[in-house]
Amino acid sequence: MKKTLTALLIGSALSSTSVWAAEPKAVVEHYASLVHAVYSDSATTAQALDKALKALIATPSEATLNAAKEAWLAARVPYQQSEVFRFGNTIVDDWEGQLNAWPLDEGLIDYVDTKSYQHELGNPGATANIISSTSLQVGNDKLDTTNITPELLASLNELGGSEANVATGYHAIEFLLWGQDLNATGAGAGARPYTDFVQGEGCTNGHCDRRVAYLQAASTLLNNDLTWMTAQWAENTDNYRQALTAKPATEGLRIMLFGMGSLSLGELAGERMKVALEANSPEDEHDCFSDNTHNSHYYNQQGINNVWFGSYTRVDGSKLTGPSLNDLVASKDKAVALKTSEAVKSATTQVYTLVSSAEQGQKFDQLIAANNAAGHELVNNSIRSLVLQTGEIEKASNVLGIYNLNPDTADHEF
Amino acid sequence: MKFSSLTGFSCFAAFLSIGVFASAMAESQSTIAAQPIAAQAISLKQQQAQQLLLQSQRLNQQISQACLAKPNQDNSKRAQQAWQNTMTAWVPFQGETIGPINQLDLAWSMQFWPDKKNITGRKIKAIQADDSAITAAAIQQSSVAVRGLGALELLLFEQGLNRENCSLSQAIAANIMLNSERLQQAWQQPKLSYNAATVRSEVTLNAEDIAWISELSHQLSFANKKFFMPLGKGEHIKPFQAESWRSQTSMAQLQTSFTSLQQLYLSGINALLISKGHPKLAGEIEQTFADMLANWPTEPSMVKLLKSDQGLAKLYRMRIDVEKLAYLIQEVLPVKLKFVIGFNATDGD
Repeated sequence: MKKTLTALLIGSALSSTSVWAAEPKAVVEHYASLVHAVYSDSATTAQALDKALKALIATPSEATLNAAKEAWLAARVPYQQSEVFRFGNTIVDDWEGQLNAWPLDEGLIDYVDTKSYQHELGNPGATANIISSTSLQVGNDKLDTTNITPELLASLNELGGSEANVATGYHAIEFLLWGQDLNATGAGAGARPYTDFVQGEGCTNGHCDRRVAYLQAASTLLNNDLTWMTAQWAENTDNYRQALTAKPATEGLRIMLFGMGSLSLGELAGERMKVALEANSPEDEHDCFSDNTHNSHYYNQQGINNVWFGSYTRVDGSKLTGPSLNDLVASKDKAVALKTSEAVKSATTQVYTLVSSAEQGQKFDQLIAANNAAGHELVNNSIRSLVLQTGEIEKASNVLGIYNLNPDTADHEF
Repeated sequence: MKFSSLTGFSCFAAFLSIGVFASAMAESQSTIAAQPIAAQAISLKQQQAQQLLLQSQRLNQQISQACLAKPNQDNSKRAQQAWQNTMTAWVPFQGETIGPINQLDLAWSMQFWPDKKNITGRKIKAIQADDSAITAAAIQQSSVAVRGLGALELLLFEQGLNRENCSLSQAIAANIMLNSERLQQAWQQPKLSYNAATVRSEVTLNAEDIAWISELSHQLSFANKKFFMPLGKGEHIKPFQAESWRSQTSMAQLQTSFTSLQQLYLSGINALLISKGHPKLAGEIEQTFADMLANWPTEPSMVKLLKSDQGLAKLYRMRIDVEKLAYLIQEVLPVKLKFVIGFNATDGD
């Protein structure tokens, strides 16, 4: 990482003037460091979640359940900022489904209220309820689910070929902590009672032993996965980071830009906002059990912000800064860099209005209710800001001469 | 090869114009051989919009007549055929990012797809359980899932046209016709903004050319999504993800997709590639379109193909051409012409 004297004096990564030496290689190197920091924080907060889950399992109560929920919410903060790394880094894309696949057919995992449960059409696992049964019949296959282990849960993901069969990860844990949100577009999240985890007498909804086994197995798997990914981005070792940074810098830049644009437009503006909004479908809300969708969206956008400005505020409050895409683009075309920076900042501010709304009592699932015109406007403004941001990212790519933004196929030949 | 990337697919294309266009912005600065792409493409779109309007009017008429006379096997069949014709006329607009579809935000109102969780079925059920009067105006205020062709497909093919669903069917058909009218009118004098903000293209292309070449790519992304989603992964097919599984016409609709893309390609993009010194690429794209369409299965139902070994073999054979076309248009072409096609809604899937 090369720092200029100016950078040391000013140190503002949010400045749109170039304060770091704008070497493509240094930008990619710093990106790798930033990825490592985000995954390190994801791993640390997942450890704290695991601890809270163990406390809940040992002594189920309103207090331990709430503490576990708080730990889950905290764990989402760094992880959602990591989603910008998904698109383009094959190692992340191939891996992340086990941690964050969504939307899920929760009837695969545990009991559901069938009146308000809508699952993927044709999904044979949608009502399997692993917690209630020691074997599963899926098509012609009979699976032994007697012992709920991390390995078993991992093997059940995408059961029968359906991506909605999500047995693991943040959202499986979320469902186990909150339960189904039966309020549709009204106020309120899922309200699973802590007694669902009570062993022996007092257990509600049955199979409490298997439910806690499930919770623990899912948490263990999540922690293992995050530890593995963090190691892939550690410095000076034989890992993915080394392979990435050894490639021509253009490849790294392509991955960075592709990740930002894909998350901004297709995923965040499209799948996560527009579908839920236009179809008035709370089932398509991202964190639908916990009603934490506003934060999920905001920290996704913050992740884009981080990559553009080469800056990340860690969970402990410390700040990581270094040579950024912004610096690099500014060294070639100041006007484009400035406009992109403005669009990124503006999208961040705009998406934050969803958080403000939630804090004032109106959460994402209420904003998308059919008759909530003001809510629709708020979500639409976020969508528009993300669309604009994507346009500026494309212009920045143009400045860098990266015409094919698709890293997967950049070197394919027929 | 993965298509959910720059290439991808989607039904959100309607709202993406700003993002998509951002990359397609370069000042007009060159002369181009032959007739400009934009003029040819707009003329093509006008014809397609006229056809959509005509078919949607017939659909509306067929359903009204059937409901007035009392639905029976004959008039229900005619209504189904009219739906198919309207759907075929709609397909050329899927995945568009330029022009009225986007400006009027019509894409999802005409067709909400994909619909993995059957929001259409759920919302239709809710409307049918509600006794309040159903009008086209009420439909316009409802979830996009009940406003368009997918919802009507459910009523005509899954439920079958009957006395109970007649008023809802009529309201949706009227809404489709209304939107088709708006689309047709807007294409008569399209206000297309090819924002000339940035000059970057090292090959001298004008903003219009870049926008329309990008459009070919974005629409191709949508067509590819229609092809790949039902194929699923490995042995796990996903028949319910096929576009028109309720009417069993997904393969026929997909054929229309590629045919209309071929038309767009031959409306000047081909000539431009040749004039810019890339005749080999131009020829390869043209040939790939031709090969794919020449080998197209006659079976209109994708679900039927998915469920037989021979059918699957045909789809796997087609996949080679589908992937090759995407590679040529979305990977090779922008690098040769040195511009960024940009993102579309299918990226990130």
